Amino acid sequence: MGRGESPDKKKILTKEWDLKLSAVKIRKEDMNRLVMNFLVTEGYVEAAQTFEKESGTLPGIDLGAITDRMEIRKAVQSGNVEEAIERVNDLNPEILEEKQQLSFHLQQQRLIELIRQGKTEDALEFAQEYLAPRGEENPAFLEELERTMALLAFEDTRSSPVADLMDISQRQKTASELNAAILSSQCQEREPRLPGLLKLLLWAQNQLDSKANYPRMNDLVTGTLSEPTSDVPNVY
Amino acid sequence: MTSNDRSSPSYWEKGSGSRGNSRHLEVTGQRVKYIGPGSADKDAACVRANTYVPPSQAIYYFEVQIVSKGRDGYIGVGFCTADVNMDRLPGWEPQSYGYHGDDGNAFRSDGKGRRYGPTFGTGDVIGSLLNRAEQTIAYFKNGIDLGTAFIGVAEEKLYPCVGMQTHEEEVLANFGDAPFKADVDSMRVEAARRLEAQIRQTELPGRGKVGSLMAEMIFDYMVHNSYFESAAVVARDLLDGAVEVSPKDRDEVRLRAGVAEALIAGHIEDAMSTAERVAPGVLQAHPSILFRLHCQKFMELVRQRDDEAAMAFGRSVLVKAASTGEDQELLQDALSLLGYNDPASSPCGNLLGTKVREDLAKLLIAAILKHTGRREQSAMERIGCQLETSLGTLLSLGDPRISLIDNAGPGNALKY
Repeated sequence: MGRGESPDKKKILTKEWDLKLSAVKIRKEDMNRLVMNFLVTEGYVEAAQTFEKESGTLPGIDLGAITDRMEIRKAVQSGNVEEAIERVNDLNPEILEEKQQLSFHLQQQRLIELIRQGKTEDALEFAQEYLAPRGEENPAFLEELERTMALLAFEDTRSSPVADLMDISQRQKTASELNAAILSSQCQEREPRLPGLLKLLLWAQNQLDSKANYPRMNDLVTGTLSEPTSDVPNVY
Repeated sequence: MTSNDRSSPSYWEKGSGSRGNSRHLEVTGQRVKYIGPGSADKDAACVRANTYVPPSQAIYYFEVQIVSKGRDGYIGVGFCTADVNMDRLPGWEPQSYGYHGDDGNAFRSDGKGRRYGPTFGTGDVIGSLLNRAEQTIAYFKNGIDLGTAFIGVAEEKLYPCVGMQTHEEEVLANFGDAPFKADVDSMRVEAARRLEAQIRQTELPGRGKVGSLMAEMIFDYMVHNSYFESAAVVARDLLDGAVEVSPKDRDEVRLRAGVAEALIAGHIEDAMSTAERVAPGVLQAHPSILFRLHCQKFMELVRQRDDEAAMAFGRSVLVKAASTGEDQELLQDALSLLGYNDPASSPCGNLLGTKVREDLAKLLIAAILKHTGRREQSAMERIGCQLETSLGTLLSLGDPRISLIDNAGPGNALKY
């Protein structure tokens, strides 16, 4: 037994694990439906339409009816937060009134976009007028506001510790939060299934960690497995 | 569940774990009656069920009806392990849990217990819930939930048990043969919902390599399965153009599909030359696949009833190419086809079937993918396999929570 290993832990070698993996049957139909569910729930109409055409997977809802959501998402993802806010309010003004956190995140995104455009003065003015008062109400908001303001301190924000805020995935995060709120206001399923399944995998692996040494999947993007510690020859 | 089911508790086991007081109990099936002296604590007697609760069962529930509270109603209901001294009431000993009728207290390895619920007596139905998913025990009186009595209940093998100590006390258990007073299905649903909420708390990495994790996975999946138009839209709308479908990827996927198609249609030469085009050297690197392809060429000639050409090909190529024992065997089977008027209905006729070519196509495609440094499965498919295997392993290691998860079980990983 290697150092730090529990004697109760079951050792599952890569060879054994691979055998189990290869016995699993994943149906293409199931995967197609998962993908379609993601595209539809997140409001990517064109991707859903194309995918329907190419794979024959039915979207399950009328794609025309999600155009509003799609336009709003598009606006956030292309940096037009103001337009998105206007459109949401046209659709249902209660959404932003009720969801304080979402409404803060949208304003925060607006600030990020101003900084991205290099409009430092506008950014400062906007932060003072709209964001600072909300930071005073809520410590969590304040912290996020401070992180965002830190962007102004760096000439090259990409290599700063708050670079994640400038990333396109930040826009997507905000867009998804807004999208979920709209869905919820329309009494539709808010969350796509795919992230839930990924969480289930991470959870299952976390539980398994205390019971076994096995090839763990740490890299979800490529789905690559790492060697279990028991496969590594003991160096001591 | 019937009383004959040995894998689940179904009746009281006479004399189980007793050091002598079992003579104070009259045990018949699901019924227990106290017939001892019943004057002091030392006269207590307990009986447990014939077997323990299956460790992988998330929610276990049984009921006892108090037929008579007898003289004092010193009746305890609960769970214990096989090692517990049964001449004591449930909960007085370590590894033993009990809810007592005379004072309504909950007992866990002590003789005093702590305040828990109402007292119970003649006519009441007491339900005991072992929730392994959350390691708790709770009780029900006449179908009403009394709340959690014990937490951190971790013993692997727990038996339902009942104990008593005064004259004429009598209970009748229901291990599931009759309808319960409480709604067990909804307990299960509630537990599943709490587990789901807990799983939902798991943090996901928000970001992949160039954009959102989910978008990258979907892009990878689409390219893998030749949904190129969709992949292009996803790249543009979900990944801000950070990735693209390269013409080389497209060509390779098309060529691979062509290889499989040609092979299955029986155009072996075409399949082989296309395979070499997309992955030069792949056939030489896999002699057993190469041999099987040669055999298929031979079958093609047999199917066309060109016996002469088949014979010539057999002599000049097949016989020389067979190297392993497996090859030799296949060779003999293949050659035997020439001996029949109707090869397709001969003992080795299956060699001419589509299934053989389909299987060979799968092998060849896998070899090509490997040869060109590509993965056989998309990340999403690998995630599905890893998910099913992880859940299956947890279940086989006895994790009771897995039975509460919808996506556990063969073929369900990516279902909804």
